[in-house]
Amino acid sequence: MARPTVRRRRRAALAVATAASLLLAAACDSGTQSGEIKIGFITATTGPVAFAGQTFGNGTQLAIDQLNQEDYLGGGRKIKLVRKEGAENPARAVEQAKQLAGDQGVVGAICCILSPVAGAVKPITSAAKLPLDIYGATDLGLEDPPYVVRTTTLPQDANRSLARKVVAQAKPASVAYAVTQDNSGWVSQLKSFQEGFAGTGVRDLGTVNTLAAQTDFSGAAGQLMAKNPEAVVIAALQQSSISLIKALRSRGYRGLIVTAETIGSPGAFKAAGQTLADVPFPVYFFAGKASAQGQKFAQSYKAKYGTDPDDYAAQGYMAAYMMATAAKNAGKDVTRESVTKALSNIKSLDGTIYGSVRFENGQLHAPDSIVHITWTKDGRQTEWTPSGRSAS
Amino acid sequence: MLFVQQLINGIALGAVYALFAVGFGVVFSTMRILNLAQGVYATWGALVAYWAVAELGLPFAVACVAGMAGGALTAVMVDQVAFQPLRSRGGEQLLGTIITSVALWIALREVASLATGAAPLGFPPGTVPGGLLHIGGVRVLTTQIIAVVCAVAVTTLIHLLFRHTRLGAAIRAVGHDRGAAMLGGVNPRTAILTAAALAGAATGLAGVLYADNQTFTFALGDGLLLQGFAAVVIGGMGDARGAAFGGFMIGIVQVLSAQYISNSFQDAITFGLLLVVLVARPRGLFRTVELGRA
Repeated sequence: MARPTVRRRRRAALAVATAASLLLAAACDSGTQSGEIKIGFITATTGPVAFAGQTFGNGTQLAIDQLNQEDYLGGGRKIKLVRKEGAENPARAVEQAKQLAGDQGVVGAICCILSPVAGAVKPITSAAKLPLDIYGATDLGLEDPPYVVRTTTLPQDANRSLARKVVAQAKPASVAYAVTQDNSGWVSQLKSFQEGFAGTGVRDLGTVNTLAAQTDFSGAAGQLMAKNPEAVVIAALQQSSISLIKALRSRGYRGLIVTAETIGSPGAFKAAGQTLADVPFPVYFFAGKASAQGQKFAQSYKAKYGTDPDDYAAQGYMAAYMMATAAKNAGKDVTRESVTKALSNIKSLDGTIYGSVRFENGQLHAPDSIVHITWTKDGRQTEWTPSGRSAS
Repeated sequence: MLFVQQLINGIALGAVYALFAVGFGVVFSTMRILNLAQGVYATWGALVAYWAVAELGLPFAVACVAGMAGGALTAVMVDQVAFQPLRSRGGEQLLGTIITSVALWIALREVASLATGAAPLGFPPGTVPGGLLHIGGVRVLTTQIIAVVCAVAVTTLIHLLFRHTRLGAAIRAVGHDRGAAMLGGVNPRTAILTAAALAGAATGLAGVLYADNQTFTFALGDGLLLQGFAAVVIGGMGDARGAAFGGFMIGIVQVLSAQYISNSFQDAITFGLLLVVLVARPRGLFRTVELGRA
């Protein structure tokens, strides 16, 4: 008779220990009033856009490290990035988003370079009432407050601005376009360039479509050159843009070539070299003209990673800064609900790496920080002016 | 004039497809393997050539040879890791070889991604022959001429090797009936390794010539795989000339359809052509090895 009693006691003790462990784990996971605030981060350090994902990730991590060091949240609380590798693959990113959504200790998430990935992830996080900050995807309309905000600096505004500068200063008589036609983000960017040129008297000679998986651009270069444009605008993926620029220049095209921000990373110059010289592109972050906070960011970034930060690194930094600010503003009880509310209440921020920024319907705008830059032949970035080949 | 310009672009692109297809055809006709890892031979060929030029400062011609060696080495390694164990079991292993080739494709692709940081790469300026010929109103790049010359030369050499040498006869004999070839004194392992190395070298060269005038990534071989497969089916699996013809044909159709029909549908048109050929001539235009034997 003694054995069943002992068993019952053991079982009771085990049950009590299990319940205590679960309660302890739940308390640790809640993120509320504990010393650690967990922010999910779906990274892209592998996969097709890993070259950009790495600098996005660098910027995000740098922001978290700096803010933790400065005790930005106050009271010794720290932000912990919960990194999940999504490889910018929609199915994989969705799985990672589900994991983050299932962890109630995670009070916010940062994700997505490609628009289709962001489109796939946001229903998952929204259903879990997990606030999501999109840091790289550019297709219009991805923001969806209160649960989805976007700190991606919209290239569409920057492209329109660059197009108008090209018209005013380089004065091309005609322009032809090339676009990655099967990617909605790039079609949207093409339209923004076209809007910038519209009504200016620059003759539109038409658009050459390319595909995301396309790797040979000899035909596309031939098509563009047959139109005999004084300027060519390329709204395409990084590799496509670089390859098309190389194909045009190697065939003797001497007119002005204009692209989006995609060729701004150091890796782009390493791959293409001086072929990219005098090709203007717009950025929101340029260390040479950055705010005081931006200068500090650029110095820290170079000290840690050995290169100047590009636009992607700045976007990663800004996404983390935004989420940290929401966590700070959420007060002592940092939950998904309080972070969501705090994100919605942010209408403007001063002293960011872009200077002063404002938010409209969950979208960050920083029009004053747009700079039109280009690569020099020796691999530096400088403000673009229509000189040399561009002006001829 | 635009038609001639795009025709030349198509021929040059087709030359790369032809080299790839010749390698693809050699593997299929010898080993009866639908090798989906073939694309990574091109990727590794291009990577080795790039490193030879960018890191070691070797001239482009030497880099081409290094790229061929890189492709050949990758092909032999894939054969020994993925296909040899299946061959040793005997019998038809078509499904098994397809699955293992997919596994090797993904694994070697990921290794290439890690090795390059998934960043776009490009041969440094001045390291690739950069001449531009103006013939009438048509522009022809030196690299395009090199691609066509290489494709014709490699196709001819492989055709001659297979049809007019003892080694070629041995390789063909192993492809036709391994047991009978062994009875005839042929060492099947030597024949298969030679065929794998030849296929890898041709494919590696295709990768180098594809990458030399643009940027490329670890995914370079993926696009070539589909086009090369279509080329070899169109031309015929057992004849290097047929595979090369298919490659040139696809390059020309792709560029001209993009110019005169639509860029958006160039792949649909290419593979529509493949369907038409499969229906009309299931053994390819050169009527060689029957696909059904796979």
